[in-house]
Order: sequence, then C-alpha cells, then structure tokens
Amino acid sequence: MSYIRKVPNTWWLKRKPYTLFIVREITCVAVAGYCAFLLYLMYALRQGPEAYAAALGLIMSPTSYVLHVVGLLFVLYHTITWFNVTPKVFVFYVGEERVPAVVVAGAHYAGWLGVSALVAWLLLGTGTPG
Amino acid sequence: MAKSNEPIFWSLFSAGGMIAALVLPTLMVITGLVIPHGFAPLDALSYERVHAVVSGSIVVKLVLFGVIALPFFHWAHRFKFTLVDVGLRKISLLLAVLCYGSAIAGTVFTAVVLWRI
Repeated sequence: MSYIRKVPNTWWLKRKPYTLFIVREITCVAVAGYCAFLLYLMYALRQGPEAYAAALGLIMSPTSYVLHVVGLLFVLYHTITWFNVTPKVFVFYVGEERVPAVVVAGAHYAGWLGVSALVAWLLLGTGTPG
Repeated sequence: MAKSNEPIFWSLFSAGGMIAALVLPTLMVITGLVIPHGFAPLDALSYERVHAVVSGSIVVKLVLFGVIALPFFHWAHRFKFTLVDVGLRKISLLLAVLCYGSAIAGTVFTAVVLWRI
C-alpha cells in the first residue's frame, strides 16, 4: 500500500500562488452566474413583454450593481489568466521557428478587443434592426 | 470519471472558457455599468428590439446558445476540481455527476428556451 501524505484542506491559503490558483478556479462561479442571468433574460423574452421588462429592469437595482461589479472583477481575472496561458496550449511553428509566447497571447488580446467592439456595436450601436 | 469521457469534457471546458473570456466582460460592462449609469438607454435592450433580433434568426440563436451554454461546462469542470482540491476528493464522482449534470440540464433548457422564442 502506498503512502499518501495528508494535505490540510487549507493548503491554498498557505502561499500566494496557491491562493491565486484557487481564485482563478473560482472565477467560474461568476462566469456561470452571469450566463444563468442571460438564460433568465432569454426565458423572460420567451414569456412576453411584461416578463422581459421586469427581468431586464433588475439590472437597474443596487443588488445587481454590486453583483455585476464583483462578478466583472472575477471574469476579468478569468480573461487575463486564460489568455496568458494560451501560449502553453497553442503551439505554432513558422518554418522551424516557434511563434513566440507574446505573439500568441497578444493575438488573443487583440481578438478580445475586436470581439468586445463588435458586441458593444451590436448591442448599443444604431446599425442593428429594431 | 471514465478516462474516455475526459477529452469531450475538456474540449467543452476549453470552448466555454474561451467564449467567456472573449464575450462576457463586455456584456457585463453593458448590463452592469453602461446602462445603469445612463451612458446608454435601457431601451437599447428593449423587448421589441431584442425579440425581433433573436426570433428572426437561427444564427443569432446559435450564437446565444454557444455564449450561454458552453460556459456552463467551463464552470462544471473548474468547480468540480476546485471542490476536489479543497478536500472533497472522496465524493469526486458525485461532484462530477452533479456539476456536469447541471451543465447538461442548463444546456438542454437553454436550447428549448431559445428554440421557442
């Protein structure tokens, strides 16, 4: 029988990199929470104008404001940590040369900027129908 | 979890993580800050406007389906392993069933809701 060293459940509080690892992992709660809100909005959209107006109206409440701000901080931490590991996940070669990490991560940040602009334009721009 | 399921769930985790990283910050800034602070009207997301766009396009529905459902699998993967890492290793299988089960249920519900709009 092999010997397994007991690790206390608070191991992640012992060192900063461990804590940041758990913070990174727990950002998934903010991610899923916001997607659940989007799903709720779509559910209300299906129900009709009154239900949708009530659901959308929630974003004007102080509770929503706090949840959004805290959630946004976690989601931004997810985004940054996610893009920063992309060079380890996506390995490209141009000829014999490996594409540098800063280029791979940089491409993702550039993509983020593009997607963000597109989303903002689609939701708030005047060019969409309605 | 059986090893054969691992690549499927890891792919969904990755896809959900990428979608969340790219799209959610802007959406959250819009619904959490831009509109509440009055930089854009609440009517920008009015029923008439959103319903017209969503109901009229299968492409829009597919995009919304991806944006809403894939991050559920991202959550399931990370949340399950976080709980295992902080001491719940003994109920790892139960956590996997609960987390991935929730993600699957959320995905089916998302598909049904969007389909009916």
